[in-house]
Amino acid sequence: MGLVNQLGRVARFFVSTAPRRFAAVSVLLAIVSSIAPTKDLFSQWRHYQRLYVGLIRTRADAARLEHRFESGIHQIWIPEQHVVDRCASCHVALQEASLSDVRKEPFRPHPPMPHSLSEFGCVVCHRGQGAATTVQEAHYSTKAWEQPILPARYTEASCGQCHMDTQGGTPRLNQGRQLLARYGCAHCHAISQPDGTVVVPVDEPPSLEHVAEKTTREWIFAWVKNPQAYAASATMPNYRFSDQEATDIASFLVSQSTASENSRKEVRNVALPTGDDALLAGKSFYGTLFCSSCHAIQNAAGNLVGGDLAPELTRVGNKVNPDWLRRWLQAPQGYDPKTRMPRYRYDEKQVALLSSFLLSKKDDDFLANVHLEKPDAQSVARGKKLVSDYGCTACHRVNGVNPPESFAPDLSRIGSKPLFQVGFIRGMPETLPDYIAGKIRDPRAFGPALKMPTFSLSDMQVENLTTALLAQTDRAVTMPPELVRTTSHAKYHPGGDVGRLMEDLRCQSCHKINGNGGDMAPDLSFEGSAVQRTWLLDFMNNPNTLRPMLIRRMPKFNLSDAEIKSLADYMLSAYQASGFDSHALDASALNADAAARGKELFYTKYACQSCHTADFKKDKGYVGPSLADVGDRLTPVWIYKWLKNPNALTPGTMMPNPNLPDGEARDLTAFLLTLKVHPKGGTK
Amino acid sequence: MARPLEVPGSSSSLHNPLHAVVRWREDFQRMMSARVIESQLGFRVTWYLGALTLGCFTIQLTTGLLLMLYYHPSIPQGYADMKDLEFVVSSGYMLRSLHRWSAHAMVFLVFIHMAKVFYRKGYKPPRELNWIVGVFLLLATLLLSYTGYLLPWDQLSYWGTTVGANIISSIPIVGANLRFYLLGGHTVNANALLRFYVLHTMMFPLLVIVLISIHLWRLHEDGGMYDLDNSGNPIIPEHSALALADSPIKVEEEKTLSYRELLFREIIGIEALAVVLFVMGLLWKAPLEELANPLHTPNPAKAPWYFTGLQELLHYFPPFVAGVILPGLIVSGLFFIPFSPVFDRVTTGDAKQWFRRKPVRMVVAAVLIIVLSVLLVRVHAWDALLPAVVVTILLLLATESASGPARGFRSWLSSRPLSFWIMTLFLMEAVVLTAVGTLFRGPSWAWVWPWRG
Repeated sequence: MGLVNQLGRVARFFVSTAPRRFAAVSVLLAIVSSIAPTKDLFSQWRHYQRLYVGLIRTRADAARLEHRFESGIHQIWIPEQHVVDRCASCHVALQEASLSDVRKEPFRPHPPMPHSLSEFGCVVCHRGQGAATTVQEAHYSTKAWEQPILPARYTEASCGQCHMDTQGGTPRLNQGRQLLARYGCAHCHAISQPDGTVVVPVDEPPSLEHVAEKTTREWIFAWVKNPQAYAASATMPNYRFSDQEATDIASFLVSQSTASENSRKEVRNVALPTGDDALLAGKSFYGTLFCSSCHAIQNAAGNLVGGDLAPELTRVGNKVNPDWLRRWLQAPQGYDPKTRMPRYRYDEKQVALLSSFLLSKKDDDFLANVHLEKPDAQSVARGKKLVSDYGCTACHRVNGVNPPESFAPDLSRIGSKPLFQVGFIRGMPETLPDYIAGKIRDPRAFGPALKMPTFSLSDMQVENLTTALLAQTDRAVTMPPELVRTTSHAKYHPGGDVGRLMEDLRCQSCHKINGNGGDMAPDLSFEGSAVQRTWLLDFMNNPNTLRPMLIRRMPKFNLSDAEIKSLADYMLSAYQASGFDSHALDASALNADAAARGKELFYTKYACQSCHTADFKKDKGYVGPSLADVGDRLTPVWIYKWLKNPNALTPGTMMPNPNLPDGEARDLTAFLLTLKVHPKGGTK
Repeated sequence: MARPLEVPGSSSSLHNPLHAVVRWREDFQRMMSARVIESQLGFRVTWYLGALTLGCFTIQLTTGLLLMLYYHPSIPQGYADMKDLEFVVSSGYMLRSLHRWSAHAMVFLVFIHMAKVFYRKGYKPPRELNWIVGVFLLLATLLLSYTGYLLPWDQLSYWGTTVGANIISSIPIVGANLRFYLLGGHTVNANALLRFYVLHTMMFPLLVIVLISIHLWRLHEDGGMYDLDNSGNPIIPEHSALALADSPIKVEEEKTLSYRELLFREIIGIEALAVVLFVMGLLWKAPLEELANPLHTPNPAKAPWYFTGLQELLHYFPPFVAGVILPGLIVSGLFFIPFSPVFDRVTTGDAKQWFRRKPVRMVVAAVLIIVLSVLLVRVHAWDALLPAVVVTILLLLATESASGPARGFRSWLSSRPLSFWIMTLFLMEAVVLTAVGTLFRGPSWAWVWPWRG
């Protein structure tokens, strides 16, 4: 009470006369107007810089660090990229490598990276609000800034804004991009990239134009209901169709099926081998053909054994019609002209053996409970509508239903999708990465009427896909073109008779040639410069793996000698690199003395045997290809140039560059040329 | 002011700097009315509204000039400059906040000032010209505030401006062209930003400065502060400032020098206002949302608060009615009333004479109530009609006092002139519609409670 009275008296004193009122208000004004400038002295970034000064005083190199430290707002300004980044005002030690043991933010130095800070600033990669100087505004989503910091697990997305090609340091982005192509996202979604290219799906959804020849209505029903129940590794997503819908689709697909070219071929009844021995024989034949380079089968332990380039065969016996299978093995292209499966030159007995093995791969329970009503016209009509509505023809060819156009949203700039366009599910974190990941993980959660199916992906795969999609930003599109690292999408196909043969064998399903083709097997663009003719002939006749570590191997095509000869001649003349003629290396230097010196270098100075095998009896290296027959296999010039700079010949190779002087490279070449299985230089 | 004034330009005063100071002081005295009635100096009489408005404008000029040192009228640099002000410029956010809150305060004070002057019948001769200048100042203030609203180029400003520009385009025939000339295009874009910048920093400030000068000059000429007679009409002083220089003035005893007493008090008021604005700036930063995105219309997109009343009307009535007829009526009413004595002569008491017979009164009341109810039911514009209903009830109350001698409130009501009722209706409409439009409207202009937002 006394205090109130006192205050009342003071107040009365100040308001009693005009000059006192004036004085009081003026003082008050002086006080309130000086609060804002004073508050500036206690800003967040000043606080962190004071802490930093305290931190570096405790360091051994305190004097140097203090000398380098400059107080004030630190800013990276790159007008061409609209970058104004003031992150370094708090993150003051980004470039202080000597503080690498500091774990406390914001003082951790930036880990080593391929770009300098002044090149791109911070938010180009990390997002957030670079201009802000408070943690809340810089890191988080606010009324004035939508995009918060990108969580660290998605940071590789930022590399992908410019780098369209595969980078060594971005495994998650690389896998995400592979998944984008492999899971056929681009069948429905258009995804164009800043370099002008579009994402092309690499999966090969089969044509369904003749599907009734291949399989039954029951199998289609079961497959459509849940593809992963048939094959765990199936990339076909689950559309969560009801029984009725799946039945209708199966009815329609069978009813639209027409006769393929293969169906006109007669299947002669070759007596199939029977009994356990026959099964074993079939299994071993499957093994020697190296089907598992592309196809996988689940083993007893439930693990998939084999490649993922072609469909899993664990329950193929439940699926295929035996006659279809034999015709298929004889001539896959007669059923589906666009298949990636090569045409092997099997004889009828081999086909019978292989198909009996494959037909034994079945699960008797799989279709046991599938009993479908006889299809009627309504069911077929409903099925056709479903096939059309759900965009099945975006992937599969179906008679009478055209592929849909712009069926699904364009994802070219999904990484910059404004949040106001996003319909979040109640309760989920309202950020773009969470939205994209959630949408991939369970699309129908965002609305039961949505058509996007559920893919069978691991959490890691979802995150990696999200990373790849987050790379599709506005910034990437508006980036100066000289900053975008493009990747070439060549359309090379060999021509002429040999070209037709190579198409028949589907060489480019596995090999890349002049920028076009698969990446499972070695690039053949310069094969003519690399290998010796005798070895090439020998290899195509009886391929054996060069790399002991790999399970996959080139299959045996049973080519005729004439086919092998024309293939080899074509490759040796067409697939030549420039500068690999015999003048590039002085042949007289490759003498026995040089070989002896080379051997010394191989085993002692460079310890090549830790990865390679020169002598099967002594060496244990298995990471790199075996060199025991390299003298038969490779040309001297190729060996020499390879040793000088492996990465120039095969970008991204695991072989390190040993930085050899010319003399040592020549000596090693001389030594390697002595490594021959057939000392006289090939027998064929 | 007994001392005769120096004759400006006379040779004796030209070379003496002291004389210049004296002359300056005397010029300053002329700016305000020379002498004012002492009893009218108290805060309770005028609330210093004119002075406080002038104070706001001074703060606007000062902070605006400082903001111009940082601002580029281009996209997206203008927005980036807002970020610089917020994050890098020392007290930059305070500059913005002061400018923003002071602008709001100025619009608000201009309104109150107008109402106050109107109810004090300050528009009566010889002040009718100054009243007109004041109406122009009100419009100029609104335009000044509206053009400044766009400059931060964030979502708030972009869409507020867009809504405002669309209100303009609802004027028939010329509306679309007017909008085109204002924006320099069909949408709010870089041209609009540049135009608004020039209008906001050059044209309208100059216009306002000129108008304020005339306003103050006329205030001086017309005898400054005035007192009211018993019936509430202003007593017109017999002198004017022009007479001051020529002849000795008849100074009434209770009059006092305005520049010492009044100016001093008003400066205190302005300082107090500045204190309030600084505190507001410390408590609430001037809003800044995301960079303007022409593809993303926020829901609701609201005009600046002083236009949400119009926006609310547009929600109920066709654009021609809400955007043209009603504002046109208001503005022309503000212009027209001072020149039509009938508005002041006719009082509620006269109306009583017209409706002497009770059945007539009842019929008129019934017709009014029916018309209002039909409007209410058909248009659902209950908030627009609420003030009309209140005014009608008050009118009925005033005219019902026929029997027996009127006393108190009723008597006061029945002596109100027509102009009182018009102004009261307008003010109530403005307050109710603005409050509803600003506080109670959510997505799709549906009713929301502000505390649920």
